[in-house]
Amino acid sequence: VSRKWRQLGRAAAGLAALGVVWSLTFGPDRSTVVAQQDDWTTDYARRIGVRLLEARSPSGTPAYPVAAGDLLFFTNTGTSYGSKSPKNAVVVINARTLKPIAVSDLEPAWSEGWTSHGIGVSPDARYVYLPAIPPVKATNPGSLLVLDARTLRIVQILTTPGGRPHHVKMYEDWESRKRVLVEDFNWLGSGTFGSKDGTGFYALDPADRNRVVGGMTIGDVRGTPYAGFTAPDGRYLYFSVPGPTMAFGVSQQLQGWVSKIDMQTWTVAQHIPMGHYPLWTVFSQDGQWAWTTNSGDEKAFKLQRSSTPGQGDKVVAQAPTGPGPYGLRLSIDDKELWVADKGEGRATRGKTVTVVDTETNQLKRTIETDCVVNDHLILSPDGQQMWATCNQSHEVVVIDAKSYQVKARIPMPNQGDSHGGSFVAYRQGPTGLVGETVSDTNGLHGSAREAARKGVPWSVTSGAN
Amino acid sequence: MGAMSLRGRRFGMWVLAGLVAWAAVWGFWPGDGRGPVVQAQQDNWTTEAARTVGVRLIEARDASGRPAYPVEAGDLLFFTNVGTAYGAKNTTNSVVVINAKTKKPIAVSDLDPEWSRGWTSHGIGVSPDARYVYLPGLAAPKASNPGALLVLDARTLKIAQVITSPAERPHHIKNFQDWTGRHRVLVEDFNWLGSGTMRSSVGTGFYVLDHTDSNKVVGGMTPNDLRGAPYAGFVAPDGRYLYFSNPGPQMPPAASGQLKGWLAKIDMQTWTIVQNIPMGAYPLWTVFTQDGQFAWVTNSGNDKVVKVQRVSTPGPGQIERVVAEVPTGPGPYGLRMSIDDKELWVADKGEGRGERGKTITVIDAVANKVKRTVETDCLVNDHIILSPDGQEMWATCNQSHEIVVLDARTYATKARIPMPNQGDSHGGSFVVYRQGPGGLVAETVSDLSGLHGSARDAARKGTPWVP
Repeated sequence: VSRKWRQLGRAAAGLAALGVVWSLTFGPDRSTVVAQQDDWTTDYARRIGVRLLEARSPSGTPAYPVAAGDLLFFTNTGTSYGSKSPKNAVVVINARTLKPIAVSDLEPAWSEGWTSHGIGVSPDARYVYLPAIPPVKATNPGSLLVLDARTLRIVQILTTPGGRPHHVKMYEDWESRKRVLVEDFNWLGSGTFGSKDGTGFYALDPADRNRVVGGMTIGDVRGTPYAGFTAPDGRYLYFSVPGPTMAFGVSQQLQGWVSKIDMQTWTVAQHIPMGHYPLWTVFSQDGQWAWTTNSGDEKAFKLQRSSTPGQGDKVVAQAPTGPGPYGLRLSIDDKELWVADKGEGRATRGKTVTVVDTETNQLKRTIETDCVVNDHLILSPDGQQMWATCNQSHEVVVIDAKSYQVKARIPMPNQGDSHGGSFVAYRQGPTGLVGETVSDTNGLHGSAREAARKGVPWSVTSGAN
Repeated sequence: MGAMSLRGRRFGMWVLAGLVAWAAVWGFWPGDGRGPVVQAQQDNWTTEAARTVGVRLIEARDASGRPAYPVEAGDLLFFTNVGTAYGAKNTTNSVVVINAKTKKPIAVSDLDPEWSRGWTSHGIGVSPDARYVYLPGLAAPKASNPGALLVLDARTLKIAQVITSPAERPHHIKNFQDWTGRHRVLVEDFNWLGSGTMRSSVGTGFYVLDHTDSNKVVGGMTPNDLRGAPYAGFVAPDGRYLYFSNPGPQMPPAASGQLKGWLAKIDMQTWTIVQNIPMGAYPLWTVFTQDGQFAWVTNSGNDKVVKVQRVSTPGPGQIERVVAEVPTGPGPYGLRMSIDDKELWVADKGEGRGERGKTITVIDAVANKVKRTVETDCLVNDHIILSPDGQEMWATCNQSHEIVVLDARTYATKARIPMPNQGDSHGGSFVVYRQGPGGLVAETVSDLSGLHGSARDAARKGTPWVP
């Protein structure tokens, strides 16, 4: 027994010695597990909690034809507001013929019963951003679906802590970098638009695989950020903060404020006291003035922006609106403020647009559009039309910006609910067709903005003439 | 026997060599530094709640030593803080222990300079069993240490633990007893946006400690959870609902009345908000009647207090609402109900005002009217603490660096207790000592959150409290 034990002991020692040699020779390699390389997630993404859940091949047959000189309008159709549409989808409309030319057909697991209350297109029109709010029994999380704008197929899926993507808008920052702002519904509570965990908002770089390059959490704002808009200087972002729950603001129980955010540092530079349920903000082209919907008060507040360091922006006028105002848009010459009388939080379904004279700050006229529950107004890039998206009458109503006449009604495919949109112009470039997003829910962009600032006509083919 | 022993030793050596070599293969060899497995230190303090709120235990020390002051059965002590703000001459953030009967300070803590010199505090707390004193440590401008909650042994006044949070701006500490009868400690940070001593771009929110289990974090919420900047929280008599004031993201627009705030009613069973109750400008402090039917809240930006009628069973349509409002002095801050709930005492601090408050407004809590204004000359009086027998109101004076003791019946000033080193005092806790079976037993019987333990029981029964 003793000899056997000795032999066993020597064998064990021998094996162990072999192990030592192996360990010393190959040990460090053996101990290193190479993690998957995540070169998408930035510090901002980590901080806000934005994750790239999936990345897919964007290739495929284009979903619709385009040619130089085309002007398209990208909108969404969801499955809420009495919609007959079974799927959350992107709708592409020819802005000249005023006819839909394509509807996305996304896989059911990411679209059937899902809904959206916004849409966006990247500055170069490469991507369409479709918010996707899941139905109750969905297994996939609420996400921002990034589609290839030509194939209308999913390229990326981005998720957030709140999982309630709402609006998507493009902007150009103070260094002329083009960015995409994404904001979640951040209401407290549960259900389609509420969540215990909130997200806040974040900025994407569409030129770098939609990586997150900025943003803030709810904690950073110390409130519930609702909708943000960038001033013409590209540096300050004005975010409405209406209160922790929607009912609170709508019922005039709580005042809100607008957080003026310095995007160089992502810090709040000023809190501008508002009335009840502040929502949407627009700016005059010279950046001197801003207007903000105070939906709970049925008013739009006019802000004088400060150009002097140390002095804050202040409310200088209030103009009445229709019931539950939501989106705003300034006319191409900044002389009129158009207000979408959505009926937000009201029993009455809004079906008018209020036009305010921005010099006298008085009501100029009320346009009966019959666009039921009209949330957004988008200015056509030539400034001649206002496109009103109608949540509950499931159409887009095109209004002549000068005569106030309804020029066209574009029924949404499958009677889905449309919530905003983006105009994209196509031109012939040196190496092929080039797309440019020229207007969205954040106002005019690129060549259209340049033309408006110069006061010259804009055309699809040549941009700012 | 000898041969067997030698063979046995050889065998043992081989086995030992084999084991050592084998251990090296598996990476436990201590000397080579190339082992693939690093044994992490066992962190058995950090709970899931601590992780959620971002609270960390950065130091745990042996706080044993000689007691800093003598105590015996029958003693009633008052623990307060002295900071270095509000024109204080005091140079180190400290705990002050006062004999509540003689009304004389009997001890002052002497903490390490790197955790106290130039540091300040705007609050203080003592655990229900009076084992720990919680001293907020707001860091001096050039401090290398982070702002932290210093947990002191209440007898030695030495640091036992150092706890940090994302904002590093600890503010108030209060005891409460939850709906299952468990005693807990609530800690709230300053959560204002901005930078400076009382502001931070990163907010913490608040958290709850279990003082019987190494002060582990057992609950809490972040500004994100509340969708606001939580300021001060108070637990209702039922022990289940926590009322947290949310005055807005920054103090100036709130204090100037430009923004209105709200009161978040939080179910502590689920840490969810069951109602947001609209308030006026700058809601701050909340107190409850002993039967839990009413709450009073300071609306400092309006120089008012509002009375809230509570609902016994929250549910659809069961909404708590403001039923009365009563004017106060300038910039009201802390509140305290009299022992019989018939009077509401309001500390007219002058919060956010140019003028320094020096009065207490006494309100008839039944008629909802001002009953009288008491001239205390307690400058910038933030808190009022009821003595456990209900006979005295102790007012802490930030800027006159004293505690003013008022007779709760005659409204007369009974005593003025100058703070050691002319430091600024911000609240405090009464602790009673009794002889127990195994020695001296301590009980915290009153603090910023009202009466506790035996004092609360006596008040509820309407019987005199016996130390």
